[in-house]
Amino acid sequence: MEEHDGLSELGRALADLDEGGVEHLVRQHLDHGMSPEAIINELSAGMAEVGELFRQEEYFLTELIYSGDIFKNAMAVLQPLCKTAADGKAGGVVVLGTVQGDIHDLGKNIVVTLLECAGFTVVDIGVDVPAQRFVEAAVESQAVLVGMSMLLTTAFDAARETITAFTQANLRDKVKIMIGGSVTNENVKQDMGADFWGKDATAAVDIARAVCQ
Amino acid sequence: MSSKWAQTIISGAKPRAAMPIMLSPASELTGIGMIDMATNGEKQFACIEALAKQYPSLAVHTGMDLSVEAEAFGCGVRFTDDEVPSVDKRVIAGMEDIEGLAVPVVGTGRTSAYLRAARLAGEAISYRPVFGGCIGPISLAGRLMDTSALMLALMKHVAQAHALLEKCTDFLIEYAGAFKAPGVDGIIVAEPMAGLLSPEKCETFSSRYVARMVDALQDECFTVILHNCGRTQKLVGSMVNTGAHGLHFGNAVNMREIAPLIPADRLFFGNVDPVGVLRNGTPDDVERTAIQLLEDMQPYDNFILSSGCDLPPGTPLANIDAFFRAFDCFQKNA
Repeated sequence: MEEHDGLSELGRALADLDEGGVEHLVRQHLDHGMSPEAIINELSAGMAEVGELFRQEEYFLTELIYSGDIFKNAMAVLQPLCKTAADGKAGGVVVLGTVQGDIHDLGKNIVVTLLECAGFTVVDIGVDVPAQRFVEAAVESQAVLVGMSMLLTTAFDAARETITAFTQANLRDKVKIMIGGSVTNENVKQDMGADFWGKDATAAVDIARAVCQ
Repeated sequence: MSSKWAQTIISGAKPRAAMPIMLSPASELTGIGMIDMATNGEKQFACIEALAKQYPSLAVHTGMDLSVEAEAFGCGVRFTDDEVPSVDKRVIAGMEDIEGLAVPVVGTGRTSAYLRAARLAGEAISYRPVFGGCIGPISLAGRLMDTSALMLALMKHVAQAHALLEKCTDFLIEYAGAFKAPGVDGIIVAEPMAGLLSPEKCETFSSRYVARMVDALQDECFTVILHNCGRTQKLVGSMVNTGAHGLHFGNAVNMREIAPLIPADRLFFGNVDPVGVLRNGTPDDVERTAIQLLEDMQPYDNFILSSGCDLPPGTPLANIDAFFRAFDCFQKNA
Protein backbone atom coordinates (compact mmCIF):
# COMPACT_ATOMS: atom_id res chain seq x y z
CA MET A 1 0.00 0.00 0.00
CA GLU A 2 1.09 3.57 -0.65
CA GLU A 3 2.71 5.11 2.40
CA HIS A 4 2.37 8.69 3.67
CA ASP A 5 4.61 9.71 6.57
CA GLY A 6 5.09 6.06 7.49
CA LEU A 7 1.36 5.37 7.36
CA SER A 8 -0.57 3.65 4.62
CA GLU A 9 -3.24 5.63 2.79
CA LEU A 10 -5.83 3.95 5.00
CA GLY A 11 -3.89 4.63 8.19
CA ARG A 12 -3.46 8.26 7.15
CA ALA A 13 -7.18 8.58 6.37
CA LEU A 14 -7.99 7.39 9.89
CA ALA A 15 -5.37 9.63 11.46
CA ASP A 16 -6.86 12.54 9.48
CA LEU A 17 -10.37 11.58 10.69
CA ASP A 18 -11.54 11.13 7.10
CA GLU A 19 -14.55 8.93 7.84
CA GLY A 20 -15.66 8.62 4.21
CA GLY A 21 -12.11 7.91 3.10
CA VAL A 22 -11.74 5.10 5.64
CA GLU A 23 -15.04 3.51 4.58
CA HIS A 24 -14.04 3.72 0.91
CA LEU A 25 -10.53 2.34 1.41
CA VAL A 26 -11.67 -0.55 3.58
CA ARG A 27 -14.15 -1.62 0.88
CA GLN A 28 -11.54 -1.10 -1.84
CA HIS A 29 -8.92 -3.18 0.00
CA LEU A 30 -11.41 -5.99 0.53
CA ASP A 31 -12.43 -5.87 -3.14
CA HIS A 32 -8.76 -6.15 -4.10
CA GLY A 33 -8.37 -9.26 -1.95
CA MET A 34 -6.44 -7.78 0.95
CA SER A 35 -6.88 -9.82 4.13
CA PRO A 36 -9.03 -8.31 6.91
CA GLU A 37 -6.12 -8.80 9.32
CA ALA A 38 -3.81 -6.72 7.13
CA ILE A 39 -6.43 -3.98 6.86
CA ILE A 40 -6.86 -3.99 10.63
CA ASN A 41 -3.12 -3.57 11.03
CA GLU A 42 -3.23 -0.45 8.86
CA LEU A 43 -6.14 0.91 10.87
CA SER A 44 -4.32 0.18 14.11
CA ALA A 45 -1.34 2.18 12.88
CA GLY A 46 -3.71 5.06 12.14
CA MET A 47 -5.15 4.81 15.66
CA ALA A 48 -1.65 4.86 17.12
CA GLU A 49 -1.03 8.09 15.22
CA VAL A 50 -4.26 9.55 16.67
CA GLY A 51 -3.03 8.65 20.16
CA GLU A 52 0.25 10.40 19.47
CA LEU A 53 -1.52 13.51 18.18
CA PHE A 54 -3.63 13.54 21.37
CA ARG A 55 -0.51 13.24 23.46
CA GLN A 56 0.97 16.22 21.59
CA GLU A 57 -2.25 18.21 22.13
CA GLU A 58 -2.81 18.46 18.39
CA TYR A 59 -5.98 16.45 18.87
CA PHE A 60 -8.44 16.86 21.73
CA LEU A 61 -11.24 14.76 23.17
CA THR A 62 -13.66 15.23 20.28
CA GLU A 63 -11.09 14.07 17.75
CA LEU A 64 -10.12 11.14 19.97
CA ILE A 65 -13.69 9.93 20.35
CA TYR A 66 -14.43 10.46 16.65
CA SER A 67 -11.41 8.35 15.69
CA GLY A 68 -12.68 5.58 17.97
CA ASP A 69 -16.07 5.76 16.27
CA ILE A 70 -14.55 5.51 12.77
CA PHE A 71 -12.37 2.60 13.91
CA LYS A 72 -15.30 0.73 15.45
CA ASN A 73 -17.40 1.18 12.30
CA ALA A 74 -14.57 -0.25 10.21
CA MET A 75 -14.12 -3.13 12.64
CA ALA A 76 -17.83 -3.92 12.38
CA VAL A 77 -17.20 -4.66 8.70
CA LEU A 78 -13.88 -6.45 9.14
CA GLN A 79 -14.26 -8.53 12.27
CA PRO A 80 -16.84 -10.99 10.87
CA LEU A 81 -14.46 -11.62 7.98
CA CYS A 82 -11.49 -12.50 10.16
CA LYS A 83 -10.51 -16.19 9.99
CA THR A 84 -9.81 -16.39 13.71
CA ALA A 85 -11.33 -14.81 16.76
CA ALA A 86 -8.29 -12.63 17.10
CA ASP A 87 -9.05 -8.99 16.48
CA GLY A 88 -5.61 -8.05 15.40
CA LYS A 89 -4.73 -6.40 18.67
CA ALA A 90 -1.56 -7.50 20.32
CA GLY A 91 -1.38 -5.21 23.29
CA GLY A 92 -3.12 -7.38 25.87
CA VAL A 93 -6.42 -7.12 27.70
CA VAL A 94 -7.29 -4.35 30.13
CA VAL A 95 -10.48 -4.17 32.22
CA LEU A 96 -11.67 -0.65 33.02
CA GLY A 97 -14.54 0.61 35.15
CA THR A 98 -15.64 3.38 37.49
CA VAL A 99 -15.92 2.01 41.01
CA GLN A 100 -19.17 1.47 42.89
CA GLY A 101 -20.75 4.65 44.18
CA ASP A 102 -19.31 6.78 41.41
CA ILE A 103 -21.04 7.39 38.11
CA HIS A 104 -18.51 9.60 36.32
CA ASP A 105 -17.39 8.14 33.04
CA LEU A 106 -15.59 10.80 31.04
CA GLY A 107 -12.08 10.11 32.32
CA LYS A 108 -12.61 6.37 32.01
CA ASN A 109 -13.84 6.79 28.43
CA ILE A 110 -10.77 8.78 27.47
CA VAL A 111 -8.55 6.02 28.85
CA VAL A 112 -10.61 3.39 27.00
CA THR A 113 -10.15 5.16 23.68
CA LEU A 114 -6.45 5.86 24.18
CA LEU A 115 -5.79 2.23 25.16
CA GLU A 116 -7.66 1.08 22.05
CA CYS A 117 -5.60 3.52 20.00
CA ALA A 118 -2.49 1.90 21.46
CA GLY A 119 -3.64 -1.58 20.42
CA PHE A 120 -5.05 -2.93 23.66
CA THR A 121 -8.28 -4.87 23.93
CA VAL A 122 -10.36 -3.02 26.49
CA VAL A 123 -13.22 -4.52 28.45
CA ASP A 124 -15.23 -1.48 29.55
CA ILE A 125 -17.50 -2.54 32.41
CA GLY A 126 -19.09 0.87 32.87
CA VAL A 127 -19.76 2.95 35.96
CA ASP A 128 -20.91 2.24 39.51
CA VAL A 129 -19.28 -1.19 39.22
CA PRO A 130 -19.36 -3.53 42.25
CA ALA A 131 -16.09 -5.11 43.36
CA GLN A 132 -17.09 -8.61 42.30
CA ARG A 133 -17.88 -7.48 38.75
CA PHE A 134 -14.28 -6.25 38.35
CA VAL A 135 -13.08 -9.70 39.40
CA GLU A 136 -15.48 -11.51 37.08
CA ALA A 137 -14.53 -9.33 34.12
CA ALA A 138 -10.82 -9.89 34.74
CA VAL A 139 -11.32 -13.65 34.94
CA GLU A 140 -13.58 -13.82 31.87
CA SER A 141 -11.24 -11.73 29.73
CA GLN A 142 -7.98 -13.05 31.19
CA ALA A 143 -6.92 -9.47 31.74
CA VAL A 144 -3.54 -8.74 33.27
CA LEU A 145 -4.40 -5.16 34.14
CA VAL A 146 -7.49 -3.68 35.80
CA GLY A 147 -8.10 0.05 35.91
CA MET A 148 -10.38 1.68 38.47
CA SER A 149 -11.58 5.21 37.81
CA MET A 150 -13.02 7.53 40.45
CA LEU A 151 -13.92 11.20 40.71
CA LEU A 152 -15.27 11.13 44.24
CA THR A 153 -13.31 10.70 47.43
CA THR A 154 -16.27 8.75 48.77
CA ALA A 155 -15.46 6.08 46.18
CA PHE A 156 -12.16 5.26 47.89
CA ASP A 157 -13.73 2.61 50.11
CA ALA A 158 -15.27 0.86 47.11
CA ALA A 159 -11.86 0.87 45.40
CA ARG A 160 -10.27 -0.68 48.48
CA GLU A 161 -13.01 -3.33 48.56
CA THR A 162 -12.33 -4.11 44.91
CA ILE A 163 -8.65 -4.67 45.59
CA THR A 164 -9.59 -6.88 48.54
CA ALA A 165 -11.91 -8.88 46.27
CA PHE A 166 -8.98 -9.62 43.94
CA THR A 167 -6.91 -10.75 46.93
CA GLN A 168 -9.71 -12.99 48.19
CA ALA A 169 -10.05 -14.51 44.71
CA ASN A 170 -6.32 -15.34 44.79
CA LEU A 171 -5.78 -13.14 41.74
CA ARG A 172 -3.72 -10.37 43.26
CA ASP A 173 -0.43 -11.77 41.95
CA LYS A 174 -1.87 -12.35 38.48
CA VAL A 175 -3.64 -9.03 37.92
CA LYS A 176 -2.08 -5.60 38.29
CA ILE A 177 -4.36 -2.81 39.45
CA MET A 178 -4.12 0.84 38.49
CA ILE A 179 -6.23 3.72 39.73
CA GLY A 180 -6.95 7.09 38.19
CA GLY A 181 -9.19 10.14 38.47
CA SER A 182 -8.78 13.69 39.66
CA VAL A 183 -9.06 12.80 43.36
CA THR A 184 -6.31 10.18 43.20
CA ASN A 185 -2.58 10.54 43.63
CA GLU A 186 0.46 8.48 44.59
CA ASN A 187 -0.46 8.57 48.28
CA VAL A 188 -3.98 7.32 47.58
CA LYS A 189 -2.51 4.51 45.49
CA GLN A 190 -0.24 3.43 48.29
CA ASP A 191 -2.97 3.71 50.88
CA MET A 192 -5.28 1.51 48.82
CA GLY A 193 -2.63 -1.02 47.92
CA ALA A 194 -2.98 -0.54 44.16
CA ASP A 195 0.00 -1.16 41.90
CA PHE A 196 -0.12 1.96 39.75
CA TRP A 197 -1.54 5.47 39.69
CA GLY A 198 -2.23 6.99 36.29
CA LYS A 199 -1.91 10.76 36.52
CA ASP A 200 -3.78 11.11 33.23
CA ALA A 201 -4.94 9.02 30.29
CA THR A 202 -1.58 8.95 28.56
CA ALA A 203 0.06 7.76 31.77
CA ALA A 204 -2.49 4.93 31.86
CA VAL A 205 -1.33 3.84 28.42
CA ASP A 206 2.30 3.89 29.56
CA ILE A 207 1.35 1.72 32.54
CA ALA A 208 -0.52 -0.72 30.31
CA ARG A 209 2.48 -0.98 27.99
CA ALA A 210 4.78 -1.67 30.92
CA VAL A 211 2.48 -4.33 32.40
CA CYS A 212 1.68 -6.06 29.13
CA GLN A 213 5.22 -6.16 27.73
CA MET B 1 -14.62 48.46 30.13
CA SER B 2 -14.68 46.31 33.24
CA SER B 3 -17.48 46.21 35.75
CA LYS B 4 -17.19 48.60 38.67
CA TRP B 5 -16.30 45.70 40.96
CA ALA B 6 -13.42 44.57 38.78
CA GLN B 7 -12.21 48.15 38.26
CA THR B 8 -12.07 48.95 41.96
CA ILE B 9 -10.00 45.83 42.63
CA ILE B 10 -7.61 46.27 39.72
CA SER B 11 -7.07 49.96 40.46
CA GLY B 12 -6.32 49.22 44.09
CA ALA B 13 -9.23 51.36 45.26
CA LYS B 14 -10.45 48.31 47.11
CA PRO B 15 -8.06 45.96 48.90
CA ARG B 16 -7.53 42.66 47.19
CA ALA B 17 -8.48 39.48 48.99
CA ALA B 18 -8.38 35.79 48.31
CA MET B 19 -11.47 34.03 46.99
CA PRO B 20 -11.63 30.26 47.11
CA ILE B 21 -14.61 28.62 45.40
CA MET B 22 -16.31 26.89 48.30
CA LEU B 23 -19.59 26.08 49.91
CA SER B 24 -19.33 22.52 51.25
CA PRO B 25 -16.85 23.47 54.04
CA ALA B 26 -19.77 25.33 55.62
CA SER B 27 -21.12 21.95 56.59
CA GLU B 28 -18.60 21.79 59.40
CA LEU B 29 -19.50 25.31 60.53
CA THR B 30 -23.27 24.89 60.44
CA GLY B 31 -23.98 21.18 60.74
CA ILE B 32 -25.96 21.40 57.50
CA GLY B 33 -25.38 18.40 55.22
CA MET B 34 -24.84 18.43 51.47
CA ILE B 35 -28.38 17.34 50.65
CA ASP B 36 -29.98 20.18 52.60
CA MET B 37 -27.43 22.59 51.19
CA ALA B 38 -28.33 21.55 47.65
CA THR B 39 -32.09 21.46 48.06
CA ASN B 40 -33.07 24.18 50.53
CA GLY B 41 -32.43 27.84 49.72
CA GLU B 42 -32.63 29.01 53.33
CA LYS B 43 -30.12 26.40 54.47
CA GLN B 44 -27.78 27.14 51.60
CA PHE B 45 -27.97 30.82 52.53
CA ALA B 46 -27.09 29.92 56.12
CA CYS B 47 -23.98 28.16 54.78
CA ILE B 48 -23.00 31.12 52.60
CA GLU B 49 -23.44 33.47 55.55
CA ALA B 50 -21.41 31.22 57.86
CA LEU B 51 -18.52 31.25 55.39
CA ALA B 52 -18.81 35.02 54.96
CA LYS B 53 -18.51 35.49 58.72
CA GLN B 54 -15.70 32.98 59.10
CA TYR B 55 -13.46 34.01 56.19
CA PRO B 56 -12.48 37.38 54.65
CA SER B 57 -13.11 36.19 51.12
CA LEU B 58 -13.23 38.73 48.30
CA ALA B 59 -16.78 37.56 47.57
CA VAL B 60 -19.18 34.78 48.49
CA HIS B 61 -21.26 32.70 46.14
CA THR B 62 -23.99 30.09 45.86
CA GLY B 63 -22.96 26.46 45.48
CA MET B 64 -21.14 25.26 42.39
CA ASP B 65 -23.61 22.45 41.81
CA LEU B 66 -23.50 21.43 38.17
CA SER B 67 -26.57 19.22 38.37
CA VAL B 68 -29.19 21.90 39.10
CA GLU B 69 -29.87 23.01 35.54
CA ALA B 70 -29.79 19.48 34.11
CA GLU B 71 -32.31 18.42 36.73
CA ALA B 72 -34.58 21.27 35.62
CA PHE B 73 -34.44 19.77 32.11
CA GLY B 74 -35.56 16.42 33.56
CA CYS B 75 -32.30 14.59 34.32
CA GLY B 76 -32.10 12.32 37.36
CA VAL B 77 -29.75 13.42 40.12
CA ARG B 78 -28.01 11.40 42.81
CA PHE B 79 -27.78 13.00 46.24
CA THR B 80 -25.59 11.97 49.16
CA ASP B 81 -24.69 13.88 52.29
CA ASP B 82 -20.96 13.72 51.67
CA GLU B 83 -20.67 14.69 47.99
CA VAL B 84 -22.08 17.35 45.72
CA PRO B 85 -25.04 16.06 43.68
CA SER B 86 -24.32 14.50 40.30
CA VAL B 87 -26.44 13.65 37.26
CA ASP B 88 -27.15 9.94 36.97
CA LYS B 89 -29.91 9.84 34.36
CA ARG B 90 -29.76 11.71 31.06
CA VAL B 91 -32.75 13.04 29.14
CA ILE B 92 -31.26 12.78 25.66
CA ALA B 93 -30.62 9.24 24.48
CA GLY B 94 -30.08 10.09 20.82
CA MET B 95 -29.88 13.00 18.40
CA GLU B 96 -33.58 12.58 17.63
CA ASP B 97 -34.44 13.63 21.19
CA ILE B 98 -32.94 17.11 20.82
CA GLU B 99 -35.68 18.64 18.68
CA GLY B 100 -38.39 17.74 21.16
CA LEU B 101 -36.45 18.76 24.25
CA ALA B 102 -38.47 21.34 26.16
CA VAL B 103 -36.66 24.30 27.71
CA PRO B 104 -37.80 24.49 31.34
CA VAL B 105 -39.03 27.62 33.01
CA VAL B 106 -36.83 29.21 35.65
CA GLY B 107 -37.89 27.99 39.06
CA THR B 108 -38.20 24.39 37.97
CA GLY B 109 -36.66 21.85 40.33
CA ARG B 110 -33.94 23.19 42.58
CA THR B 111 -33.26 26.32 40.53
CA SER B 112 -35.66 28.12 42.87
CA ALA B 113 -33.59 27.06 45.90
CA TYR B 114 -30.39 28.48 44.40
CA LEU B 115 -32.11 31.72 43.43
CA ARG B 116 -33.56 31.97 46.93
CA ALA B 117 -30.12 31.44 48.49
CA ALA B 118 -28.62 34.19 46.32
CA ARG B 119 -31.41 36.64 47.11
CA LEU B 120 -31.17 36.04 50.84
CA ALA B 121 -27.40 36.39 50.69
CA GLY B 122 -27.70 39.58 48.65
CA GLU B 123 -30.02 41.07 51.27
CA ALA B 124 -28.12 39.94 54.37
CA ILE B 125 -24.45 39.97 53.39
CA SER B 126 -24.14 43.63 52.54
CA TYR B 127 -20.51 43.72 53.67
CA ARG B 128 -19.34 41.36 50.92
CA PRO B 129 -20.04 40.97 47.18
CA VAL B 130 -22.39 38.06 46.48
CA PHE B 131 -22.31 35.93 43.33
CA GLY B 132 -24.77 33.43 41.98
CA GLY B 133 -23.61 30.41 40.06
CA CYS B 134 -24.66 28.42 37.05
CA ILE B 135 -23.28 25.94 34.58
CA GLY B 136 -22.08 26.88 31.09
CA PRO B 137 -23.86 25.85 27.88
CA ILE B 138 -21.72 22.96 26.68
CA SER B 139 -21.22 21.63 30.20
CA LEU B 140 -25.01 21.56 30.55
CA ALA B 141 -25.35 19.81 27.19
CA GLY B 142 -22.82 17.24 28.42
CA ARG B 143 -25.10 16.44 31.32
CA LEU B 144 -28.30 16.27 29.30
CA MET B 145 -26.72 13.60 27.08
CA ASP B 146 -23.82 11.20 27.46
CA THR B 147 -20.58 13.16 27.32
CA SER B 148 -18.92 10.90 24.79
CA ALA B 149 -22.02 11.07 22.59
CA LEU B 150 -21.92 14.85 22.79
CA MET B 151 -18.24 14.91 21.83
CA LEU B 152 -19.07 12.72 18.84
CA ALA B 153 -21.99 14.98 17.94
CA LEU B 154 -19.60 17.95 17.74
CA MET B 155 -17.86 16.07 14.90
CA LYS B 156 -20.73 14.23 13.19
CA HIS B 157 -24.00 15.93 14.04
CA VAL B 158 -23.04 19.58 14.15
CA ALA B 159 -26.49 21.04 13.42
CA GLN B 160 -28.10 19.02 16.21
CA ALA B 161 -25.29 19.94 18.60
CA HIS B 162 -25.90 23.62 17.90
CA ALA B 163 -29.65 23.12 18.34
CA LEU B 164 -29.01 21.63 21.77
CA LEU B 165 -26.60 24.41 22.71
CA GLU B 166 -29.16 27.01 21.66
CA LYS B 167 -31.70 25.48 24.04
CA CYS B 168 -29.15 25.29 26.85
CA THR B 169 -28.14 28.91 26.31
CA ASP B 170 -31.72 30.16 26.13
CA PHE B 171 -32.39 28.57 29.52
CA LEU B 172 -29.15 29.72 31.08
CA ILE B 173 -29.71 33.33 30.07
CA GLU B 174 -33.10 33.25 31.77
CA TYR B 175 -31.78 31.41 34.83
CA ALA B 176 -28.63 33.49 35.28
CA GLY B 177 -30.69 36.63 34.69
CA ALA B 178 -32.93 35.64 37.56
CA PHE B 179 -29.93 35.94 39.90
CA LYS B 180 -29.92 39.69 39.25
CA ALA B 181 -31.37 40.98 42.49
CA PRO B 182 -30.45 43.64 45.06
CA GLY B 183 -27.09 42.84 46.57
CA VAL B 184 -26.14 40.21 44.00
CA ASP B 185 -23.08 41.40 42.15
CA GLY B 186 -22.60 38.84 39.44
CA ILE B 187 -22.51 35.22 38.47
CA ILE B 188 -19.88 32.50 38.18
CA VAL B 189 -20.45 30.48 35.00
CA ALA B 190 -18.77 27.07 35.27
CA GLU B 191 -17.85 25.68 31.87
CA PRO B 192 -15.37 22.86 32.59
CA MET B 193 -16.31 20.78 29.57
CA ALA B 194 -14.92 23.46 27.26
CA GLY B 195 -11.50 22.52 28.62
CA LEU B 196 -11.74 19.25 26.74
CA LEU B 197 -12.06 20.91 23.35
CA SER B 198 -9.62 22.19 20.77
CA PRO B 199 -9.36 25.99 20.53
CA GLU B 200 -11.51 26.01 17.38
CA LYS B 201 -14.20 23.85 18.89
CA CYS B 202 -14.09 25.76 22.17
CA GLU B 203 -14.79 28.93 20.23
CA THR B 204 -17.55 27.35 18.12
CA PHE B 205 -19.32 25.23 20.72
CA SER B 206 -18.65 27.02 24.00
CA SER B 207 -17.33 30.57 23.87
CA ARG B 208 -19.79 31.89 21.32
CA TYR B 209 -22.64 30.69 23.54
CA VAL B 210 -21.01 31.99 26.72
CA ALA B 211 -20.57 35.32 24.90
CA ARG B 212 -24.34 35.37 24.32
CA MET B 213 -24.81 34.95 28.06
CA VAL B 214 -22.28 37.69 28.81
CA ASP B 215 -23.95 40.07 26.36
CA ALA B 216 -27.31 39.45 27.95
CA LEU B 217 -26.19 39.60 31.58
CA GLN B 218 -23.08 41.62 32.20
CA ASP B 219 -23.16 45.32 32.94
CA GLU B 220 -21.37 47.81 35.17
CA CYS B 221 -22.99 46.35 38.27
CA PHE B 222 -23.15 42.67 37.38
CA THR B 223 -19.93 40.81 36.67
CA VAL B 224 -19.65 37.48 34.87
CA ILE B 225 -16.80 35.23 36.01
CA LEU B 226 -16.14 32.39 33.56
CA HIS B 227 -14.70 29.29 35.23
CA ASN B 228 -12.93 26.60 33.23
CA CYS B 229 -10.82 24.14 35.19
CA GLY B 230 -9.68 22.17 32.15
CA ARG B 231 -6.43 22.31 30.20
CA THR B 232 -6.98 25.84 29.01
CA GLN B 233 -3.49 26.92 27.91
CA LYS B 234 -4.64 27.12 24.31
CA LEU B 235 -8.12 28.38 25.15
CA VAL B 236 -7.32 31.63 26.94
CA GLY B 237 -7.95 33.76 23.85
CA SER B 238 -11.31 32.15 23.35
CA MET B 239 -12.22 32.67 27.01
CA VAL B 240 -11.17 36.33 26.79
CA ASN B 241 -13.32 36.74 23.68
CA THR B 242 -16.46 35.88 25.65
CA GLY B 243 -16.18 39.32 27.22
CA ALA B 244 -16.46 38.00 30.78
CA HIS B 245 -14.85 40.44 33.19
CA GLY B 246 -13.50 37.63 35.33
CA LEU B 247 -11.72 34.45 34.18
CA HIS B 248 -11.22 31.61 36.63
CA PHE B 249 -8.65 28.88 35.96
CA GLY B 250 -8.10 25.40 37.38
CA ASN B 251 -4.90 23.76 38.48
CA ALA B 252 -4.48 21.94 35.16
CA VAL B 253 -2.67 25.04 33.91
CA ASN B 254 0.45 26.92 34.91
CA MET B 255 -0.65 30.42 35.86
CA ARG B 256 2.72 31.83 34.82
CA GLU B 257 1.86 30.84 31.25
CA ILE B 258 -1.72 32.05 31.48
CA ALA B 259 -1.19 35.41 33.17
CA PRO B 260 0.49 37.28 30.29
CA LEU B 261 -2.45 36.41 28.05
CA ILE B 262 -5.06 38.12 30.22
CA PRO B 263 -5.95 41.76 29.40
CA ALA B 264 -5.09 44.10 32.25
CA ASP B 265 -8.70 45.22 32.64
CA ARG B 266 -9.99 41.69 33.39
CA LEU B 267 -9.73 39.92 36.72
CA PHE B 268 -8.28 36.44 36.64
CA PHE B 269 -8.44 33.86 39.38
CA GLY B 270 -6.59 30.67 40.23
CA ASN B 271 -5.53 28.04 40.95
CA VAL B 272 -4.42 26.16 44.09
CA ASP B 273 -5.15 22.45 43.63
CA PRO B 274 -8.50 21.89 45.38
CA VAL B 275 -8.00 18.17 45.94
CA GLY B 276 -4.28 17.42 46.14
CA VAL B 277 -3.42 20.49 48.21
CA LEU B 278 -6.52 21.99 49.81
CA ARG B 279 -8.37 18.81 50.64
CA ASN B 280 -5.64 16.21 50.97
CA GLY B 281 -2.63 18.36 51.86
CA THR B 282 -1.51 19.81 55.16
CA PRO B 283 -1.80 23.46 56.22
CA ASP B 284 1.91 23.78 55.45
CA ASP B 285 1.31 22.46 51.94
CA VAL B 286 -1.47 25.01 51.45
CA GLU B 287 0.60 27.94 52.72
CA ARG B 288 3.63 26.99 50.66
CA THR B 289 1.62 26.52 47.46
CA ALA B 290 -0.42 29.70 47.92
CA ILE B 291 2.60 31.87 48.67
CA GLN B 292 4.50 30.50 45.69
CA LEU B 293 1.55 31.32 43.45
CA LEU B 294 1.24 34.82 44.90
CA GLU B 295 4.95 35.40 44.30
CA ASP B 296 4.60 34.19 40.72
CA MET B 297 1.63 36.48 40.15
CA GLN B 298 3.07 39.54 41.89
CA PRO B 299 3.40 41.53 38.63
CA TYR B 300 -0.31 41.21 37.92
CA ASP B 301 -2.65 43.65 39.65
CA ASN B 302 -5.63 41.83 38.20
CA PHE B 303 -4.81 38.45 39.79
CA ILE B 304 -6.95 37.02 42.59
CA LEU B 305 -5.75 34.05 44.63
CA SER B 306 -8.32 31.26 44.45
CA SER B 307 -8.75 27.52 44.44
CA GLY B 308 -8.56 25.76 41.08
CA CYS B 309 -12.14 24.59 41.45
CA ASP B 310 -14.87 24.11 44.02
CA LEU B 311 -13.44 22.78 47.29
CA PRO B 312 -14.68 19.21 47.73
CA PRO B 313 -16.53 18.04 50.82
CA GLY B 314 -14.11 17.05 53.54
CA THR B 315 -11.71 19.93 52.94
CA PRO B 316 -10.30 20.66 56.42
CA LEU B 317 -11.09 24.08 57.82
CA ALA B 318 -7.47 24.21 58.99
CA ASN B 319 -6.42 24.19 55.33
CA ILE B 320 -8.82 27.00 54.47
CA ASP B 321 -7.45 28.94 57.44
CA ALA B 322 -3.96 28.37 56.04
CA PHE B 323 -5.08 29.59 52.61
CA PHE B 324 -6.22 32.95 54.00
CA ARG B 325 -3.25 33.11 56.37
CA ALA B 326 -0.90 32.72 53.41
CA PHE B 327 -2.62 35.60 51.63
CA ASP B 328 -2.40 37.86 54.70
CA CYS B 329 1.22 36.95 55.27
CA PHE B 330 2.10 37.69 51.67
CA GLN B 331 0.26 41.02 51.69
CA LYS B 332 2.04 42.14 54.85
CA ASN B 333 5.44 41.27 53.43
CA ALA B 334 4.79 42.60 49.94
